[in-house]
Amino acid sequence: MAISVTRLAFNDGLSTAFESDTETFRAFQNFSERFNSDGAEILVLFHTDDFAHPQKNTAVETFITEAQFIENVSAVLSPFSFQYTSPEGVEDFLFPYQRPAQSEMAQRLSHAQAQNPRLGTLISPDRQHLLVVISLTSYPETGPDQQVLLAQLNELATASTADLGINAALSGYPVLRTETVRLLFQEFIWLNVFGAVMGLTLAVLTLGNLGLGIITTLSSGLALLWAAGAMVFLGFQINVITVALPALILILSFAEAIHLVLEIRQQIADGRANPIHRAVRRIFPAAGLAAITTGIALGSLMLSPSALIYQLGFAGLFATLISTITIFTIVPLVFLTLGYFNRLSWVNTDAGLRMQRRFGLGGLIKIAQVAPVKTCASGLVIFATSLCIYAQLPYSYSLYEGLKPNAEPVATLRTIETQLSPIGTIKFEHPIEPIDQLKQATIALRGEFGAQNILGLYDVIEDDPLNWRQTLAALPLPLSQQLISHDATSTVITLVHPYQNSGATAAYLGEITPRIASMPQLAALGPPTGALVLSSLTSREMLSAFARCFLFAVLISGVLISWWLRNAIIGICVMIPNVLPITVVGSVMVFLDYGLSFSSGVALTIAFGIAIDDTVHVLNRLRIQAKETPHMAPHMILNAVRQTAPALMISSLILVMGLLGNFVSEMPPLAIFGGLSIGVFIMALLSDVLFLPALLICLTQILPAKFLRIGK
Amino acid sequence: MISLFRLSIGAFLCATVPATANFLAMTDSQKWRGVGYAQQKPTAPKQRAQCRLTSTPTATGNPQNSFTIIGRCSTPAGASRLTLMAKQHSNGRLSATLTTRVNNTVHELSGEEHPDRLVFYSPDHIQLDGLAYRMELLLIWRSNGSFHLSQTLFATESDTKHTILEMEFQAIP
Repeated sequence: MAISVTRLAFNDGLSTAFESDTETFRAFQNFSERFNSDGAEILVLFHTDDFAHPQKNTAVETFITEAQFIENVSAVLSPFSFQYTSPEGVEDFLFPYQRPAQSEMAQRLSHAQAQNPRLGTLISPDRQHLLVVISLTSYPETGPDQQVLLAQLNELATASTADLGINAALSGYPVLRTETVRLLFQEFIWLNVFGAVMGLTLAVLTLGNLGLGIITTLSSGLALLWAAGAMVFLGFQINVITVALPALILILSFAEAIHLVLEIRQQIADGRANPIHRAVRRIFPAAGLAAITTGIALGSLMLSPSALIYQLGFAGLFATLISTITIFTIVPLVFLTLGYFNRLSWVNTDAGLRMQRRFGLGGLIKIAQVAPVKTCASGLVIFATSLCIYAQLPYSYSLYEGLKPNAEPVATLRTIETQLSPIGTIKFEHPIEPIDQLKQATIALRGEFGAQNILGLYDVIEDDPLNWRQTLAALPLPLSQQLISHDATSTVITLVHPYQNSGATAAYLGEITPRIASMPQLAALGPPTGALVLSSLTSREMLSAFARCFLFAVLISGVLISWWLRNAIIGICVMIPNVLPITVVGSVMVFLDYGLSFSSGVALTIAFGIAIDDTVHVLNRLRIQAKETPHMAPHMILNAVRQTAPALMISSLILVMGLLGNFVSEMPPLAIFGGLSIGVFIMALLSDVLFLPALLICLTQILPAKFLRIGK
Repeated sequence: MISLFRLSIGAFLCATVPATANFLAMTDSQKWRGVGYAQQKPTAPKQRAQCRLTSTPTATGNPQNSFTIIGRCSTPAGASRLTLMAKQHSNGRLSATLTTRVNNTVHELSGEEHPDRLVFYSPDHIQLDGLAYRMELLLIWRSNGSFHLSQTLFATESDTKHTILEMEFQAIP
């Protein structure tokens, strides 16, 4: 199973993020089946002081002619494709074969832009930005092939122009996606190596013993390999949303392994018979339940309408359970083997036990002991307040969110949008015939949205509309297939739109739809569609589903803990300190003007599942004590928290330190995932040593004795 | 318009088929790179153009008297892929079949050898904007192994001529 890790695939996840059983997706799917996608277009933006300079525009022209020899390049659109009629009536290409001097060329460009406003989408009025659109027959499927194609274009652009002080930058959706996949691979390696190094370091420091640290690391590494192998087997792919999962599994494995090793060492220190069996028996119920609650949180993501999130939930659920099983198999086996050869004496070192006591968090527990009512009331007020603020968390999604705003492809897109033309596209299907109806619809749309913002078949056939078939036949096939449906009955009219994020596009669609519906010339126009429309309209639905996933995880975890404790009241009450970290971190997001995105939704849901593990460990100690005294009492609660505090502190430290690697990520979703998770883990630790014991002590003072009985 | 450009490029491909010894040379696998200009039709403006070709012996038949050239030519306005199958007949004359990838248009071409140059022509007249043209290609081999190509259209009614393609080709090592 571990060998299958080598088959782990990397994908930006864009194709499955919005795959769902929604009307918008079905309309998009139908549209995609009828028309060739225009998603395989690479934009090359050139920048210099003045493209009227003959040597500079000739250099770009050389790039254009040579780029068409690169495999997969089917057509190129640039200002060099444009024709020009001089004031004297002479027709020629805009950039003629015999290049005029710079000043004359500048006048020519200025005159041409007045003649044809669409030229302004390819060369800026100040002549400093020039855009070349490279249409591909198909975009290579594998990351390495994509990188070869982009490297070829990049090298050619640089070789053709760099000596003349021209800067060239590649962008467009294919480039964004390739860059994302390249970063995914890099981040995947970084996060796991960082997690392993931090895990080993912390294991050695907290256990105070190199040998125990190595056993913990090897067990956790094996758990990751087996879990990742299972994920591959289940069809899991690494994408922007899921890239953090393997590292998280590794860190969780470390935390579990340390819990178990601490207990084994304690049993050995106490001189118990069969210390390993005894430690496993004492820890496994809590660790098993903790794995189940984490699995439930991940599994709750399967309620998402997004295929991408569903796959994450499905794979994550199995990976969590497999990693726990691995830890509880490998760690005891290693110690049993050492015990068999009578080599366990080194485990129980004074340094290790002293180190363990430093993580007791005695001061915080003391607060809960001395002022339980005040602590509990403060916790409840914070919970209620943060819940209200958390409910205001807005939704936020952008197709560009996988990359930093200053990443070259994103910055280039923004430059194109500010200097030349919007590149977001909203598509409308329209019948080709009767051709006069298409003409009226195109003219109406040009009047409503500006001629330069409407692109379609009629632009191409305007000179001879009745012979549209012949005109189309002269175009490169990929271009003509983008314009008309495969059955040649419909065409696509494109409205260009300055894309900021999904919320803004959804609002824009809400604004233009009634305007379009009120125009009789547009009666045959289909509803807006395309990738931008799909992502904008469905992302809100996808993001709102996180609330459903989270509530489901809370509900099922509460039911499980109630069943485990055989006490529904305590089972439900202990969910409050576990939801509190999520609501507090969510409130901070509101104050920092962050919205709920795919990565933050996933982070908060998963972090809840992990944060609840601490509570389960505290409750497990209570259960163990309840075997002698079945009714919960304040001293039992405080004992349980004191006994588990070092392990909670150490595991929280591992989770926090292990995720610190996310902060130096080139991918904003990973930094968000790391930041939110760390926030939740710190809040969860504070909540478990302060709020949880205070709440339970208050319950012992409020509830009748019969409601305080826990365990069988 | 575009189809004429393709035709001219296709005709040029035939021009790279030298008779006898040179023809045999083309049956070796060789890559060529050409730079020059092209016009879509006699009245159209010039544009810079480039071509890249690969010649290989034809797999079937006698590989020494037939070969296939696969090429791609581009201008800033567009590019096209072309396939040419050429054959040298026992009487020294050449014939060729040119297929363009876009719409699978097939053109039959003929050629003949002169002391210092090769001349190729399309036996059929070409109709452009209502006028009939005769197409002629001139291929001049240089001593360094490169060659020059020009394509000229002769209007049959007015007897005017228009050179619509000129290109210098070098072998790519």
